[in-house]
Amino acid sequence: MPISDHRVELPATIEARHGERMQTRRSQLSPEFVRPDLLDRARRGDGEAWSQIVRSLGPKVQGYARGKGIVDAEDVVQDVFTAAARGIGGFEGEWHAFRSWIFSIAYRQIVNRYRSPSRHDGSLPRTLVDENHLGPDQEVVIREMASEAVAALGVLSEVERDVVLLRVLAGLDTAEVAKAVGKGEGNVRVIQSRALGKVRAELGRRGYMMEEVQP
Amino acid sequence: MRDALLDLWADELNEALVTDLSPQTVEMIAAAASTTATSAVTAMTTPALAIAEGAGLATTGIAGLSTAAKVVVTTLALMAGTGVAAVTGALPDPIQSWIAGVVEEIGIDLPTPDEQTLPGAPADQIPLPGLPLEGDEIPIPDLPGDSIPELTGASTPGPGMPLDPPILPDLPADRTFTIPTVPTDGDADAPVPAPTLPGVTLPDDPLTPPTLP
Repeated sequence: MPISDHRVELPATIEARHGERMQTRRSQLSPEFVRPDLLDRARRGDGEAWSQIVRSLGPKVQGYARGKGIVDAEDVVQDVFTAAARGIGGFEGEWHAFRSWIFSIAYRQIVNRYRSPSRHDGSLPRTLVDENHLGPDQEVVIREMASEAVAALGVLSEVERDVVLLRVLAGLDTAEVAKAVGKGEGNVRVIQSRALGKVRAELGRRGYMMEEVQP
Repeated sequence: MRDALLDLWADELNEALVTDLSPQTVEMIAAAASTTATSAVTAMTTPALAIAEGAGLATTGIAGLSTAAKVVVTTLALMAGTGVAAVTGALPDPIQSWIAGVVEEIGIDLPTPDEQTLPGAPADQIPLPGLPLEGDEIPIPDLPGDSIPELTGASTPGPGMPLDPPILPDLPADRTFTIPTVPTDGDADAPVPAPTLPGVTLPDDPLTPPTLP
């Protein structure tokens, strides 16, 4: 069933809820929501500081791992923050740099998992949506939209998917992505441009929300 | 320029892939990270903490100490460093001698400057048998006819590249070399005669140098 058929039936409550959730996620990652001594407390092993860090960055790390087709995405989150805790004594910088550092760790963890065939299935993840407080019809609508969005990742190569996910999910800028994946900034820009072109073509082919963006 | 379609797609991708971790998961991961960070900090600072705790620094910090206490802590730290250097014999000779003498009284043997030698190295030079000792003159025999001709101005060699073939000295007639005959297959076990030089006597003992004319 085409996604456009459901789009007109999408209840306003879901739209509003989506907007609120996105706003909440953005605010969780914003520097102004991070106490200045958060990283110092984390260096000392403060459990509450680590809870705040995991709550803020964990979902994005998990989403990145899911987007890469990792089966045990939650294990990736655990490994990433354990590695971060091991190395935070040598880390220097503020929250923004710390966030970028966390995703560079995540990239390496995922690359290591790809070397172990049992840790990933190579396929795209199932559609994952928060199903709380949604009726069956609304749930179907959300699932359909999400599966279309995730399926579009299938046209990308591994490095293109890395760049797109780190830009879109993690919110890293080009320089940070380049540092995380060990490539030059110019190279990352070329990869990103090519990848988004492929995604756009794939979305067009699927008729993804075309009526929503027509002028 | 922003692309509305890609913006929508990015939002949906976030919605599909990014879900909040359960509180239990957050607490479990945070607890593991906290323990790891604490262990890492402890591993890096254990020796310093041990000294600091002994001096009461763990809770007050060095800034909270009196001047006398700071002197004591600094002295202890210096003594710890000096002790390591003394054990390895790395101190200057007079200090090393003094410390070695002091601790010898309580039964500790530290190296003194005059006994600091590398393991296995001989205490003195031991000449090999048959080699001249230091200071001995070594006579160089005169060999007739062995003179190196001087280059003439006619040949101007470039750097390292002589244009003319080198001029070899003529050997005197009495310094011919006799090539020994090679035994045939029939007497392959026959000893090969040693080469002979006129006027040169080879001794039976191979360690004795030959007599030159």
